[in-house]
Amino acid sequence: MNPLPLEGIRIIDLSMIWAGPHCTRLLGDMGAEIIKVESITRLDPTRGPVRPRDGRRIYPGGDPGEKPYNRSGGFHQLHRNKLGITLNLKTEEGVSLFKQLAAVSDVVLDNFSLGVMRAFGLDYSTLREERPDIIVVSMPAFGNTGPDRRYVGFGVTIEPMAGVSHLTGYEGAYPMRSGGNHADPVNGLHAASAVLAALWSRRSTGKGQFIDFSHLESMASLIGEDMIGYSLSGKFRDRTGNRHPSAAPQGCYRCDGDDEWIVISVGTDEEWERLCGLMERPELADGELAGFAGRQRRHDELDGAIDKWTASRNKHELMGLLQAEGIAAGAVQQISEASKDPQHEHEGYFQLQQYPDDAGSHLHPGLPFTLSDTPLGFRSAAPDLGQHNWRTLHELLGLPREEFDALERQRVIGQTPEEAAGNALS
Amino acid sequence: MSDGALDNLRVLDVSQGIAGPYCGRLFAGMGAEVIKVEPPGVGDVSRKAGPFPNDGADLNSGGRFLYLNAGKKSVTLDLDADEGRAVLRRLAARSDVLIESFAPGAMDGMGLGADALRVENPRLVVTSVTFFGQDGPYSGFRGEEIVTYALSGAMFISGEPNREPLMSGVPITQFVTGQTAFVATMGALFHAQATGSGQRVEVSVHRAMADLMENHFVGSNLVGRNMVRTGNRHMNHPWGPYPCKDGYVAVICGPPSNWPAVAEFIDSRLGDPRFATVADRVKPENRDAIDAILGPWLMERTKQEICRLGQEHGLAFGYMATPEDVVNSAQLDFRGYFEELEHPTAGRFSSPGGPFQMLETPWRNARAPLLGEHNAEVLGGVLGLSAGEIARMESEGMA
Repeated sequence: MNPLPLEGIRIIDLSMIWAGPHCTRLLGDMGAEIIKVESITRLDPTRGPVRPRDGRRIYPGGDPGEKPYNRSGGFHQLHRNKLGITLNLKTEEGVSLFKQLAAVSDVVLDNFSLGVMRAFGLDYSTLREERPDIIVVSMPAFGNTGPDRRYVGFGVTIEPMAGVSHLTGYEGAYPMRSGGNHADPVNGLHAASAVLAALWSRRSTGKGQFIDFSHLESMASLIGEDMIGYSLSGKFRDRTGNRHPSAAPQGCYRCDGDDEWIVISVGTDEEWERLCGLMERPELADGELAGFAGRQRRHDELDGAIDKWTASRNKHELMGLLQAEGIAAGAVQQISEASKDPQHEHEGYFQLQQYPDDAGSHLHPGLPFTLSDTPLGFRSAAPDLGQHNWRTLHELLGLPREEFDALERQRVIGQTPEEAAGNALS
Repeated sequence: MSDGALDNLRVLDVSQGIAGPYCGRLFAGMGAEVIKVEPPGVGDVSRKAGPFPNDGADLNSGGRFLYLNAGKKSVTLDLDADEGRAVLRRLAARSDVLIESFAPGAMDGMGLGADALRVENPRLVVTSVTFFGQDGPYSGFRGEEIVTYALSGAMFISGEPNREPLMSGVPITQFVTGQTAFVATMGALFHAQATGSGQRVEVSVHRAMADLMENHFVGSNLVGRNMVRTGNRHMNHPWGPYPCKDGYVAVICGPPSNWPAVAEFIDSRLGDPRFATVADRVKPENRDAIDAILGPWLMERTKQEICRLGQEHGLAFGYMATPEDVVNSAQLDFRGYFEELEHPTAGRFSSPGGPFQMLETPWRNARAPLLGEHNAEVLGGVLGLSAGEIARMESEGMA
């Protein structure tokens, strides 16, 4: 059996919500042992409320069951292939066990606000005493240093602060947020990159290190060319909606049906000629419209002509027709359509995830890449709250049964949350 | 201190555009020797993309190229010719990773596929980046940023409900593909280190972007939830961009437990019990009432001032930073994010650093190469070709 790429690496994950969990999801998918640490006084908000009051949450079949915090869809997506324990780090016993765990781990990751780990008595220098070559990733919104180090930020703060929202919006109008909130998974990918590089470095140097992760710096990586462009020329671009600086026409065009759309991007003069042929408007490929500059100048007029042609057509059929002619085009898919996308189906991107109790198996997004010789998949379902307390604290750390039971009685550990836990986002 | 976390790796970056080169940028910034292989005379397509320092375009000075290829070496090789391919095979034999972004099957067609290259170098990791995958119903499709954004579901839920869906202002689908390629390639390198065996890594823009939509897919698959466009309105309120005196601010009234502070520092009327909970604030009449109080207050203040006030009260306020704001950010300056670099054709500029700061192995901020700048260093130094041979190859358009 071919070993998984990250087999033998143990990561303690204190992060919550999306960016950090997305990072460790990727590392867990590749075979690292991820131990997610929560507390029965403070659950990962993606587990949802202890007692859901409204129907907004996502449970299999819409049924929260008796333990809703073990059935939340958002939690299951981000925590497959992970172990889960509870430890109240506001107690001496909790901190002591955490240190013992750090001593046998490779990486500790958190996305608390600045100072929280220090308040627990678990900052980098302390953890390094437990394990000299430990890798610690600390990811407060704006980094661990600087005038804004204490600022708080969600993904919706970071996208604007990193310059992405300024560039997003219709021409001549105000800036807009992305509907999908992209900052968290982008930052999760970068955090995973940092962990992998630090682990790689440690193999040859024997040294661990501290990774100071700023969500702002990570997200600003997406406007690199704009930062350099401004620095070189003192100018920067404004919002251009769906248009392209060197391909015209490009846009989003109405199709048959309610709120149905297709995007088309014409990269070359030949493609434009072929599109005009399909539209039976060969005259639109004549004169100045034969070249990019003319098409750019008369973009509005061409958008009108394309809209007229697409409006009565099915977006998916049209995509097939245009792509067959070598023209970049794509249906603007709703989430429900994208989740049944034939290319994803062909690649087996969506995989069945097992839920606890009688909640069945459900399709979840799988791996965003393929490794030819080490196939990756779902090895285990997301952990119930505190599911691996015994395995971790007793079997791994050797905590005697009496002490384990005592900690349960004192609610330092446990498998049922405090009533007030888990409501942080609602 | 070492030269970088990945300073014992050699990466052959044959990719073009954004996704593959961003993967290569991450390797270069972390100390790997990244040899970018480009077609003689024209180079990577992104050399033609701006923004350029002046109005004139040249192949060495565009912002996109300078950013994505920082710290790499450039070698020109004509891969349409047997000699160029033979040289690439020799370089691949001495490398740890090869990143490519040709159409599906093209590398195999040139005799440069993973199987062929791994005969001589079994440890080689070959990372292929495409828009739509190596096979399957879309694999022959033409890709573009707007197309992969549209197919992912992200575009349908972005923009105003009464207008056409809106793409992102940054090439996000291709960037996350580069990030994903880096993560996957590192995984394959760990495997190669343990087993002595490299492998093929396949990453598509279409699938990498889908992963950003993971939570939306779960909602759709489990309970049939289908999102619609809501413009800048959010299921929380206030939670988005608003105009202010000198631009736009992000008024994010979260965490919601800190909402009562807004009555203190914005307007006592916001302390009205009818606005007390998130459920109260998202009622249409209350949204409007809150905005009517908020709007004039914001218009009297600057984005930085509003952001600071919100943050001082524990709320995740921000503002719509322009590229100028980001380059001039005091926070980024304090953290040494930018480094002043001198480039032979573009001139002096602030070069952004890495996406994270590794304290023992700092990011290597170095300029991007001129086209073919390292032909002698690489073809001579790594492969041992003589100066005469290199000169001949250059004069024949082979390098």
